[in-house]
Amino acid sequence: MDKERKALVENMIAGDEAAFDVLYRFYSKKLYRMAYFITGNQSDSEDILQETFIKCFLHRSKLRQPERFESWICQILVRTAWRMEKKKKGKAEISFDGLLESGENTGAAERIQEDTENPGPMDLVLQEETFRELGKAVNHLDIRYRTVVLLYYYNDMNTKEIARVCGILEGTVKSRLYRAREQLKEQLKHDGAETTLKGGRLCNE
Amino acid sequence: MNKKWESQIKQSIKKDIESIEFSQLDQNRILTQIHDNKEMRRQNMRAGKKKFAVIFAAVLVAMGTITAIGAGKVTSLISSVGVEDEIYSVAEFKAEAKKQMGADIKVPETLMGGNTFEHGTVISVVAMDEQGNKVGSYPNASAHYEGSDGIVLGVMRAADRTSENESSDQVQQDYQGITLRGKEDAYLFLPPDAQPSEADLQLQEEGKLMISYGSDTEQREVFKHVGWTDGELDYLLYTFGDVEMTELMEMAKEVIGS
Repeated sequence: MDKERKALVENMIAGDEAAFDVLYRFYSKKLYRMAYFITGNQSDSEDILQETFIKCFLHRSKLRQPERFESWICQILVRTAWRMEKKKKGKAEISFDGLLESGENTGAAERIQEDTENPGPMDLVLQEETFRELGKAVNHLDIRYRTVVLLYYYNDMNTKEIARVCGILEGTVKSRLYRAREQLKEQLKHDGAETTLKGGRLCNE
Repeated sequence: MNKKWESQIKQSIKKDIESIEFSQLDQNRILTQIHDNKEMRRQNMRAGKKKFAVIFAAVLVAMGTITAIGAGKVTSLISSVGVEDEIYSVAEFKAEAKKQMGADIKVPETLMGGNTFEHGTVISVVAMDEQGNKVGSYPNASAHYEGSDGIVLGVMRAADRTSENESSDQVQQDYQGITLRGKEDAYLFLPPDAQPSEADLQLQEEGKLMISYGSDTEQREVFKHVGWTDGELDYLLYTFGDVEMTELMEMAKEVIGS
């Protein structure tokens, strides 16, 4: 965390509302997206974001190390989301339609990342298809696995940090990550034949 | 796990997340809502803290830890709990309790009436003397159950108890060689400037009503609890919810049998 942001967090802890607003503007987009990834719908994500920042301000004195602000606010967000999800459980199914639709509406080639060496047009199409299938599979994971996957792959947290954020043992984080990967692999294997067929058809055309 | 597979998962998640839209308009609207609700919540939190302190004190009295206040040595007990202390799985909660209390605690995933484990906390309760010096501390584990009944299961080491449980229990039952002690206490929560009625003051005099000031509105609630000792641990199952004492007793048996 840079000095400027650390100073903002310190001011927020001291009760400075302007500093709170600046921090909100900096982190709200990322946190909203995380909430959406966990819950799968806009209305809950907005509620979670609002609740997270209210708790952040009301419990600010509990943050002893300002440099840990991001991890701390992620902790509040994750636990607020889990609590909300638990309350909703049994009342309605989580929908990921919005997320999947927006994923499908996005462009293709420009989103392929740098670690693929000189991909040709066919590679790009197949890679895009894999991403889409993976995205779908991730959204079918149990909320506990999805959260761990989110924090590990998107927030780049290590297993120790994830354990602290989720309030679980580090061993549990590792086993959830392992099982999540296995489930994703299984899911893709299951969808694999279809994907290959699609690719083949494209190639023949 | 090969690097390509790891990279694919990472990129897929990043791509999905970055496609989620969050407009400037939404950002501003939510910030306004946060400011609108923040102050109201702060006031509620103050009242809630006061109420929580009363409930916590009631729990400690029921568990036999706070009576030493009268003896003059321990004059106050301090503890705090925040969202960062909450543990959301029974297995991890039991592991943390074992770490801090040195014993295996019994915590069922579910209790009758659709009450399911929501979260647990293991906190340190600090005892202070008249001069505000720390004279000791002990761990206290609480399992919170989700459901309309608001059931909480508190656990502490029997060795940390500072007095024997009082014999004012209204209900007693034996189960598997363990004595279950049940009691109901009536509480009246009042705003800071409210004046209790003569009848309520009379009930307070008789020890039939506990009056506490600091809530937003007048609230009457009944604190029901069942306590027992199982091995080296003291348990207290309690609620302010609409649960019959017989049901609470049955839940206590579920805990013992778990």
